[in-house]
Amino acid sequence: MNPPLVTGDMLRAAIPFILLAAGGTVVSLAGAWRSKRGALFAALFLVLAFWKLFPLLDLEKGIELWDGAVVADRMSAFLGGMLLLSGLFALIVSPPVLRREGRNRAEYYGLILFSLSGMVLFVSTTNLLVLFLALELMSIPLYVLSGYNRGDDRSGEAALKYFLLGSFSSAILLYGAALLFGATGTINMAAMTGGDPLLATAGAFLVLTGFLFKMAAVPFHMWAPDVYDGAPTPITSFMATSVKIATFGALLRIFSLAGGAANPFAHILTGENAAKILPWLAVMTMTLGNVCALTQTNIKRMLAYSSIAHAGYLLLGLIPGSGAVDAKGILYYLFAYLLMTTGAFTVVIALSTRDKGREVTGVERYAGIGFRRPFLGIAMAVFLFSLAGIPPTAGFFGKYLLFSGAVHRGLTPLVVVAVLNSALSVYYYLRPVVVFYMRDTDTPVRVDDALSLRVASLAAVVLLIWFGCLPNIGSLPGVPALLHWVGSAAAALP
Amino acid sequence: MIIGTENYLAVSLLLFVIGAVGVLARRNLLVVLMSVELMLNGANLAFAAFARARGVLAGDVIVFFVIAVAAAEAAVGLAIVVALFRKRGTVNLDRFTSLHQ
Amino acid sequence: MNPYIPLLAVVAVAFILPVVLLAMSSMLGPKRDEAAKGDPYECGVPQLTPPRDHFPVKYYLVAVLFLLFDVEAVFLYPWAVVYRRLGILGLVEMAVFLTVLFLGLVYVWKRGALEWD
Repeated sequence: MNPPLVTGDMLRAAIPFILLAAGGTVVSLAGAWRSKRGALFAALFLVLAFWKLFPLLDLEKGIELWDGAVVADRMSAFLGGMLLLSGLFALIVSPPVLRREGRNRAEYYGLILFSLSGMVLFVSTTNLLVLFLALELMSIPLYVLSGYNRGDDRSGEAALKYFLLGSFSSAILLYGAALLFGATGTINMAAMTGGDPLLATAGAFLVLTGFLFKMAAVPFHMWAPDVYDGAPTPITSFMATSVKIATFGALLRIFSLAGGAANPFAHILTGENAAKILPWLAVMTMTLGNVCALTQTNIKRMLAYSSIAHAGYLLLGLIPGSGAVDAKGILYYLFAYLLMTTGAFTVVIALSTRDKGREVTGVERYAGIGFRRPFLGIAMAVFLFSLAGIPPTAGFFGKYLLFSGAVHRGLTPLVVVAVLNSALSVYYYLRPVVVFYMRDTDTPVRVDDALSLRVASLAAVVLLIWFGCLPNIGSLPGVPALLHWVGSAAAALP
Repeated sequence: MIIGTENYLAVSLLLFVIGAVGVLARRNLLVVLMSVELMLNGANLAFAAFARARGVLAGDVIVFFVIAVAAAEAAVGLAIVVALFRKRGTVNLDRFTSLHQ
Repeated sequence: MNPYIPLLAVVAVAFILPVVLLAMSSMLGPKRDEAAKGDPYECGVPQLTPPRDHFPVKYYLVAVLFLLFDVEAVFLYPWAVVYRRLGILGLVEMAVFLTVLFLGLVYVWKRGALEWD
């Protein structure tokens, strides 16, 4: 007798994926009845999915779902957990902003859930078709969300720009997938063997280009500052964190595909040709991000360039050098990046005001905030210190893991460039802090004191410091668990 | 005359490149949208040709899904363009510059 | 005899017939110039608005909605072909797909996108 098509284990593993997609549908539908509780409903689905995802962190062996199109393993569970955390932050910080504009609609939260379901699929598949579908499922809601702020011309332009470059890059990725399929005769990336080398190489690099667009790596970064600037700030925060987690998560899976040298896709990406290109991409990405961030006076644009720089550091972990891809370093860094970026944007939300429908986020407006609003000042300082990689923050420890891993793989020259870049970045990360504490004005600044904003920034501060004390006090509760999960997620890759 | 996979691949590459150049060079938003569709259809043709050459059905299945996704993408893209047109009265890309500072 | 010769005959007739008909009508028919003849053709009804006017955005909305729901039918055809071999699981999956599609329709309806006025 054939084995059953669906087992209990499979159902349990599939539930988080189904919950997110079903949640998106239900919450969007609630919008048709003009529900004001969209955020609450969405959070309910999200927490439920989180709860169902948790046991998957300790899976012995990956479970193949939907005929092997989706794999639920420790890696997808950990990345999925981070994505859901990013989504949860977005759900918490959005309502105050949307209420300010009187546009607190349930569809907004439904779109976030749809996008999340795409991202979670994106990091859990080795199937080219599902990869493309998941990419579109995560991107299309984001195009809509970045244009959500109808009163601001820049929001619509951000949506347009994101849509044009996003669909352009999706098409590039799809063509690459077609060439890979033609070369190997299969759409299962894990089962690819042999194949015409020219077709396979062209396909692999086109797919990689699609990914580079999504993570905003140089030379495919030009959309990021404008889109991040124009989109509503909670969406900027969500995009900056979750899209990066999703693209790097999916790349981790692709770079360490089973079969090693026999698998043309993995072989090309970790082979000689890529070894000539990837280091340059990493160096250009971090340097350009940092240099451009130096001159920004608008804090949203500064954080956009900073996110480009962080993509550069993360690319370092994907270069195999003399070893393998540094999954552990990338995972830990993504976790720290998620907390510090979301935190910084939360403070931006609390401090932003509107002028004729336009959001104003210039750094100079923050003069004296550090003394008038001690908590906001300290929180922003922690986030920016962490982004700059100053101890004792998780940002520092993430950089330490990533850079020392790269040294062990024989990439010392690259690490030197990365460290110099970090030193450069301290200058622009500290400037807002200087404005916060060293300058003062008499003009009163309106601050949004919404409870949810405070909770979100407090949670991010606590977690960043908690996990940043790791090297000194490794026995803090929760810290070994995180490291354990990072390690076991990395070990789940073939 | 037998039309081989290379011929199909050549046409698909042509479609893809025409689309890519259209996205990068044209300023009319509607033309740019059509160019993106052209790129997707180039990929579709390649998938269909390879599926036939190799006798693997997966390529044909992908074509169906890409058609559906392209429709969804086009709907969202058109909605964004219409929203911008109603505000600005133009579909020329060079006129959307409020993000350059 | 080559089997394609009858086809050639059909092609020849297809060419000759319209040419003859057009020539006859231009030679035999009366010719009168009137203002109405210069108007764009709108199903025989007198023209209401300039032809290059903007279309109301309502047309656009209906067109996009039609496009979306129409294209989803692409999945029904292959499913119908192998329906028997897919068994009960195939039926359930298609039911899920159609339910989601139907919920989309409910959303569109409830939001009033199908109202014309």
